[in-house]
Amino acid sequence: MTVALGASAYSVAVFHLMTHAFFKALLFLGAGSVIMGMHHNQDIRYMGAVRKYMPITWITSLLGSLALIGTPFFSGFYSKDSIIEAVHESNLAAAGFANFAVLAGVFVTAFYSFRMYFLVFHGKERYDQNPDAHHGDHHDDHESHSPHESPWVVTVPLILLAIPSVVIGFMTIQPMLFGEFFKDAIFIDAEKHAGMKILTEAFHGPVAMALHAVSTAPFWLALAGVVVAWYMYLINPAVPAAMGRALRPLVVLLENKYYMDWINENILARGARALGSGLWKVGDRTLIDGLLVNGSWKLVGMVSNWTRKLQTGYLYHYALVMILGIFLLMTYFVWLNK
Amino acid sequence: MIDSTSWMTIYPEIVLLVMACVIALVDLLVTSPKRTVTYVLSLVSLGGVALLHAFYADSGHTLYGFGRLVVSDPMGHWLKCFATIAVMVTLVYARPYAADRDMLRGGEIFSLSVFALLGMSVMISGQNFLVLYLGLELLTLSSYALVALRRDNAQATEAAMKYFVLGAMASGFLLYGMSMLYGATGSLDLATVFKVIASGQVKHQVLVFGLVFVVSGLAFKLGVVPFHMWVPDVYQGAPTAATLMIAGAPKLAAFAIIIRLLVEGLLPMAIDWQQMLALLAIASLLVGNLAAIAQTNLKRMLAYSTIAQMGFVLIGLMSGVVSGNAAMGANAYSSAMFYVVGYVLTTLATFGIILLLARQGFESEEITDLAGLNNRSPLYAGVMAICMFSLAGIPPMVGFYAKLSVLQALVASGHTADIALAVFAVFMSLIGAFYYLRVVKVMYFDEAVTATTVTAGADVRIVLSLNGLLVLVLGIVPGALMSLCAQSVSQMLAN
Amino acid sequence: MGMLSLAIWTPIAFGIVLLALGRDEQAQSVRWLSLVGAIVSFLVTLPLYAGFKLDTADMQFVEKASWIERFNVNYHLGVDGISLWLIILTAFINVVVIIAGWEVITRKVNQYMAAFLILSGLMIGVFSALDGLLFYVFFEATLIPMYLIIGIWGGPNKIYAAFKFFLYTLLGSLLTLIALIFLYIQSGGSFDIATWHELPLSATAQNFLFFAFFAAFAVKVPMWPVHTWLPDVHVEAPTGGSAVLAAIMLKLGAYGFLRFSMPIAPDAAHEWGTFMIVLSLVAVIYVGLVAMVQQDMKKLVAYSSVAHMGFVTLGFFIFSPLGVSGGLVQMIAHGFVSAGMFLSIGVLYDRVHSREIASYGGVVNTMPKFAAFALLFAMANCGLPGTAGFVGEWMVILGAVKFDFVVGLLAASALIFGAAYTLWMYKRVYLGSVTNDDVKELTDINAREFTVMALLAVAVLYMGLYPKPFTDVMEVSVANLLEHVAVSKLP
Repeated sequence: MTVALGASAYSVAVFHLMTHAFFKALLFLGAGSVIMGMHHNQDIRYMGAVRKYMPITWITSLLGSLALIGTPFFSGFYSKDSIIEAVHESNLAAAGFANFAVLAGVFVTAFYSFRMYFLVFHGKERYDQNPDAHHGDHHDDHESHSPHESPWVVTVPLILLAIPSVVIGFMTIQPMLFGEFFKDAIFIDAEKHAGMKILTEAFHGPVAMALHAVSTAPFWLALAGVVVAWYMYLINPAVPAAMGRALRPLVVLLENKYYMDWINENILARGARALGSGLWKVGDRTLIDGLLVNGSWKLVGMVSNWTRKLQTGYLYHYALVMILGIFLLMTYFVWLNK
Repeated sequence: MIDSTSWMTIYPEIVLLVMACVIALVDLLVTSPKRTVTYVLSLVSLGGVALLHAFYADSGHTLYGFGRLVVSDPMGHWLKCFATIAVMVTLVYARPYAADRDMLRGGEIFSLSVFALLGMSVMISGQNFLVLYLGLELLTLSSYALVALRRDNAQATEAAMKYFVLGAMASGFLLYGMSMLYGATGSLDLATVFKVIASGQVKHQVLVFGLVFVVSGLAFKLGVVPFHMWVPDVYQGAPTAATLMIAGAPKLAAFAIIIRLLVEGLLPMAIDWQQMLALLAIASLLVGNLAAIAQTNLKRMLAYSTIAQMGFVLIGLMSGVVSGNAAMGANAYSSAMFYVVGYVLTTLATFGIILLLARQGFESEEITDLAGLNNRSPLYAGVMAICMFSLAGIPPMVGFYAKLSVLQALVASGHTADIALAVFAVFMSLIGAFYYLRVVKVMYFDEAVTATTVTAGADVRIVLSLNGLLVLVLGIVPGALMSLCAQSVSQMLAN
Repeated sequence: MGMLSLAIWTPIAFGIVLLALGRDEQAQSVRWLSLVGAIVSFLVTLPLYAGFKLDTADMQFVEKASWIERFNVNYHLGVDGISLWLIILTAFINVVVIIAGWEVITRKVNQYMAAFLILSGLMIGVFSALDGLLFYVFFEATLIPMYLIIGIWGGPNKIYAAFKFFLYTLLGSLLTLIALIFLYIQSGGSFDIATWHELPLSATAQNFLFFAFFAAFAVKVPMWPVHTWLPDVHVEAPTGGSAVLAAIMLKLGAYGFLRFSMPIAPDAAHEWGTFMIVLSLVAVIYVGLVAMVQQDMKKLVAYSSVAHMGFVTLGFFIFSPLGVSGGLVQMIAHGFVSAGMFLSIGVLYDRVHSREIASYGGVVNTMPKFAAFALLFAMANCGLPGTAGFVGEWMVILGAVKFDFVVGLLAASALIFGAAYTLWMYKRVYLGSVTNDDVKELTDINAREFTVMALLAVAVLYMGLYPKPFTDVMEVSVANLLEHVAVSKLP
């Protein structure tokens, strides 16, 4: 989406926003349905063959995944491929890197989507292998850990979301990107950023675009992603394990989300608190309060005690002070102050 | 022959003299230990004298009597009126305390107070070195006796000794200075002295020599550094009734004698004595405020507070003559006058509370004795709090306006040194605020040590409440008193 | 009697009556009389808004009478767009605080209520005074009731806090007194603020005046580095005292900058503008960081107040309409929000007697209604759009960005810090599961506490959703002020 904005393909970005809304919501809801059906187990390593028990969830999730990876005719295809085209046509400095990134992204997206799909809905059942299974919320009998389909309040929305995930792109790409939908709401400097113009010229209708996809890189990249996922997680599960062992540092990096959270919590948050603590203890308490405020007060107290001692109680001291006073005044005013 | 005008000028003083003797005689016949007859007689006579003074002051004339020995002018009469009222109030507060401590025997407290007032009156209206000295001595000798009234109390006797010895020294300084000035100028009369000095014919050094002694003597009476050392010991040691007698009204007299001597007589030497007063003021503000912080005895703390407050009065007095020009004089001296009047009013209430809380055998002089007063008696705690805030200079009490007037007079010259002094003075006030606040803290924030309610006769209750109320009210509408001071001082300067 | 005099003296009169007649044996009657007094005093301020003309910057509802002839001091009152909402806010908060202290205060109830009523009247006096000495008298006089409130009904370390409050603020004010006297003399014997606005002054004089005023107002606001009294005082003061202190008393200082520092010494204000902006930004960032590590809830909110007021002074010294209006709006908004925050902490403290975050956890489980209110106030404290806290911050940040991008960026960091410390506190106290026996036994808020929360919640939401009545009132006066400040006064 943001890449599209960078390529001055604003209408495409908004279009993708819309299509993405449908299939992503569908995928989340589907995930939720699976979690509910799996008695609040979220770990996909301990799922498998859920399609047998949750058919509606299975089909709608499959549709959502297909839309996400950009399968021709599905809505995600129209928006994603338009973006990839727009980036390709952009002549900005970073466009080359962006182009590589979006294409690589197509492969990675297909791979992880279908990794999850295969692990959850296909393969062998692995429910009993979960060490953290919830034993708490068993409402009825001890019959099984096996999942059950969600009630209609869940499945109906799944179906309702699946429909536009499939068709909305096909139906709206023409008016939104190349038609009058945005009218004058979006301005593009067509000379500097000719992306949209080129796209408009190249567009020959949604069916043609879908059929043409077979000859473009994204289609094959997505397909490759699906195939690799199928191989690695259904046919030969030893491969991901072996790769994980071989590329251990990479796996750790990924499991820790590139340490972004760690940086936030330990460097930014803890650092801010340390800074705050330092400013408070040293700045406020020691320097300002201790030294200036209370310090000045203690000074006054000390001088006061010293002053008090001047009053000795002896009469002759008092008389002496009076005489000294006169003497000093005399000295100053009669002799010095001419 | 002495003309009737002269008699008019000293008519109130004659009344005082006669009544003092009458009171002493009448008391011989009185037997009740509470001495009610003597008490009422004193109050009535003083009341009459106060009314006389108010009447004279209102009439606005300035008259000289006995060949310029004394003057009858509005400023003098107002000060005498306030002094008389102050002595009356002191007697009201002092009587229960004195009765408990066997100080009323012989009615001496009443007659001595009236004699002291007589001395004050002579000081306030004198126009001649010797007359002023006479008044001063009458006041001080009566005060020594008052302080020593509890013959059986060691602390009181010690205080009286110190007061007497140091006071004698100070009077000696004053007299010596006066004699130097007399020798230099050839006259005891203030107006003549003024003229001779202004003419520039006398050697300056001789004059300054005399001036230093005069200022020292006056500084002792006012209680400023370095002649202040008697103040804490005497205030603390004397029986509280006597403390009030020497802390309240005499300040008005001290202020008056300074005006008469320095402003009316020695104004041409203003450059010198203003500098002296400045030094004394700075020292007083420092010592007074700093030492007060460390005190645990309330009377001693108030003594040091007095030293600091008098420092402020001096600041007012030293701002009159700017670059040889006396135009700012009215502003400065009237500010100082307002300050002293406000101060005396507040002091009366403060010591009134201490006297109120003192019961037989229990002196109530430690600050901690006031603990939890708000729980025992919110009214008196309120009066004391108002007084403390007033002394600290927090609006809307009269003390704030007093400080404002004095600072304004100081800054009016525009000199940077004066502005710096003003900043110094407010910093000292800040330090001062601490010990005044501490008293409020003890009364309001601390738990009461005793649960006894505070009982008092109706006269004390009414007068004390009015006293406290007046401190607050004069803070909300200070205009009348300020104008009164301003007008009377202007008239004094005009002559 | 003029409306402003009525607004000032009604609460004071009620306070005096309570002092004279109230007894702890009749505590209920005392409380009801105080409530009536507070409500009447609030109603009396409403005609000020109703009759306020929006199109003029002149002072309205003016009253003038000679007070102290000797110094040409007048009892001179008036409101303009800058002071109007502050006055109404003061009276409103007073009502809230009286209700909030209903059951908690059991000894010397009449003195407690009287102190707040008198304090409220005095503060309205500060905002409406047009004579320099009258302003000062009211300004200083507010110290007395607050000192007593902290010292009599405060926490374990109340003595230290009360003295710190009084002496720290007094120090600054005494320097301002010298400044006022100086202006009196320079202007040839006038304490009239409007006259001082027009008075030409040399650069030295303006610098001296600016710093003398700064001494008092910076301590009051409080600005960094003279802010350390506020956390100590808030922790020890009773809940009502904290609420009034944060909601109104801090604003006295900010108001002083607008009414005195800027228009009387505009050249100095411009010259030291960068200095003021730097101090404000330090307040926002430094204090924001310090707030994050606080374990005591009241201390946290106290530091948060310092940061919010940093926004206010920042807004003022960028000298733009957005900045100054934004600062003013923030002042009013902070009044509502901080009162809400402190009163929420008060509700918890009344039950558990602890202000430590660690003593709580999962309060939402046992006190859901209360937690909802607390969430609203917490969000408003962060500056969530739709709440009062957003409007002022938004205006100031916008003004700051226009002034200088870096300043705006740093100012915007306030939003991050604000969210960090407020929401983290909210999470630790209210969310999660109940871990503590004290929390398990909590009862939800009763009708009285609900009323207090609701009153403030309505104010917070109203101002957040429809700030127009506030900004409309300020617009012309702020423009007039800025016009005046833009002109040099050097002779």
